[in-house]
Amino acid sequence: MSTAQAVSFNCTQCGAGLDALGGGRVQTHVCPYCGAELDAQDGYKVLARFRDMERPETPFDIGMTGTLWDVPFTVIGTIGWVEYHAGRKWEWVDHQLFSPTHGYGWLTVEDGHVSYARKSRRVPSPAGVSDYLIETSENRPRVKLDGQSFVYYGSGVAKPFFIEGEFNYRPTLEDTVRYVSLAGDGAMLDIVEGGGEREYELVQLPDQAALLTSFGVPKGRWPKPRGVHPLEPLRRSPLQLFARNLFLGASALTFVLALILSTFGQTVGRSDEVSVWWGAKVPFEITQGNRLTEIEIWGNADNSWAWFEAELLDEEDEPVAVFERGIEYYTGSDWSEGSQRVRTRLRLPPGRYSLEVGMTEAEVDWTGGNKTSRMRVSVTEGVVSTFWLWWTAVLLGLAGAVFLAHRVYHYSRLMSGSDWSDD
Amino acid sequence: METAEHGCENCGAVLPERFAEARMVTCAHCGSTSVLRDEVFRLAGEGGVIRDAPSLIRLDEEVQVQGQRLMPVGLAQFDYGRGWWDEFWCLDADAAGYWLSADEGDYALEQALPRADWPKRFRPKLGAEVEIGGTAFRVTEAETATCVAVRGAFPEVLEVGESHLYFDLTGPDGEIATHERWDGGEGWSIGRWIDPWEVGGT
Repeated sequence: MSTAQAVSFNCTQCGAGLDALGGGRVQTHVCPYCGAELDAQDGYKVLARFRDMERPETPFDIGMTGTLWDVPFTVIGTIGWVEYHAGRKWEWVDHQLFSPTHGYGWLTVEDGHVSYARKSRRVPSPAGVSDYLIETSENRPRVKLDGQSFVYYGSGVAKPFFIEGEFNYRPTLEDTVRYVSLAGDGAMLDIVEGGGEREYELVQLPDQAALLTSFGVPKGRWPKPRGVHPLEPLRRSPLQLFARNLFLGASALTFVLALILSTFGQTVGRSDEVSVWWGAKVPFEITQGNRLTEIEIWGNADNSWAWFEAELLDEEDEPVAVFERGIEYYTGSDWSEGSQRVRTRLRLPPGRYSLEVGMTEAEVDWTGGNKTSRMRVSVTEGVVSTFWLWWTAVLLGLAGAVFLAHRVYHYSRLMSGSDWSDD
Repeated sequence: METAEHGCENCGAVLPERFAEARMVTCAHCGSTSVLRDEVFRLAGEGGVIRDAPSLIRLDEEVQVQGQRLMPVGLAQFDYGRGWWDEFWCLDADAAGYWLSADEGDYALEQALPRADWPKRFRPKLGAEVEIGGTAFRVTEAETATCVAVRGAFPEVLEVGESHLYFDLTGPDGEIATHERWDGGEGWSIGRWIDPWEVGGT
């Protein structure tokens, strides 16, 4: 630790008055006036001199103080980075931060987004992601750190083009840094290699407005975000969350209700399995006149179809209903189509009835099929129609799924800036 | 874990004997230090002036370190020239002792390494590598520090003004080991680096 107050000294190169804000672990101090790199550990001896550096655009100045998650930090240094690849150029700015309680970290300004990075002393598994792995892997490489999975986002090689202020290491304009960024849930992991060392940094995206306000950045200097930062949270209003929960909950309830109601009913008549040449005759009695009665016809159609005619007679042998229904059933090695059953529902007043069903036509119209030869008929009373409930459950579920699709869309947007290609 | 009462030989106030293994305490009233000799605390010197700086750890205030509850009962400050660090002697719920160091956001939690486990053929210089308990460590820092102030109770005698040559060794996955040498003694401790965001009050 060092004294909480800033210590002033004069640049040993140009004599300009400078403030040391960064604590006892600062290694170098680059004078903003003459570009001299001074050894903070050895009487501010001049180590090097950086000339003709183009100042990068950034909303932060050295000496600004603010809070990150209620922890006070001071901006003590600035490094501008540049990366060239395939004829394109990327630039971003890192600001070294210092907190007497939370040590050193970085504020990174890139594409108008400001993120916070801190060193991780714990090592992920695997410990690195090589260029070879990135080039040859079929899927995005992954690493695990403290049980959390991080998936490949981007990589590159960058060089500093501007250095100013205090740092807890010795940066030079000749540095070359290889980085691999991996995206996790709420944090990114950067694997940074340079100078023969490999370091790990955990990156978080603080609330931008709160951060900029806290550091006293005037609104006119607030950076304008371009694109989506890979850590940008999915923001939903309470109303959206309520609607999502309402739709998904109602869909589940409707589904369960339909499932329960579909089990209602009592079999009041059933034929044996008989030859279609004989037909089936089923006498039955209806006692629940306020509910539906379901007539089910089964035939052993096999890659063929069959047509049945049914006649329903009351106690006086007067016809109550006459209807026709067909079945068709086709199968292959890994598919099937149609059904060997057909159902008809009708509302019958209480009383005794007789149902006569016979096959009127049948044909084999698929390779290896068999004509329907056996049939069976059953009658169930007290059936509840669940048709609309099923559809309601599906529609409510689809409405809820829109929100889930929004999450998938959001994730794809987060990864839109990635340099990964599936090719 | 309170034990028998002892009085400060300087001012007569009751010394805060905090745990059975305490070998040194400072008087909360006059700041002088007393060390245990022949079952009696004898006046040993001044406790020095504690320097104040923002800290996540405070003496006698329970702290959670990666979910582990610790009570800092002793604080020693070591000056290494361009700054200083705080070294807290902490006890957990089972009265097991830990050294918790805090230096500008660098936190480490260590326990004394039994002499039988001390590494063999250790070369005390920057970059030197050594294996401890099957883990490879490398010396990443070597400094001389002076004990400038003490408060509370400690399991060993720390003299204000005494110089300690220390070597910090870093393991491959957040492990830390420290080798210390001082007049008349040396020791090893081993533990892990702590993320400051995982240090908090209880």
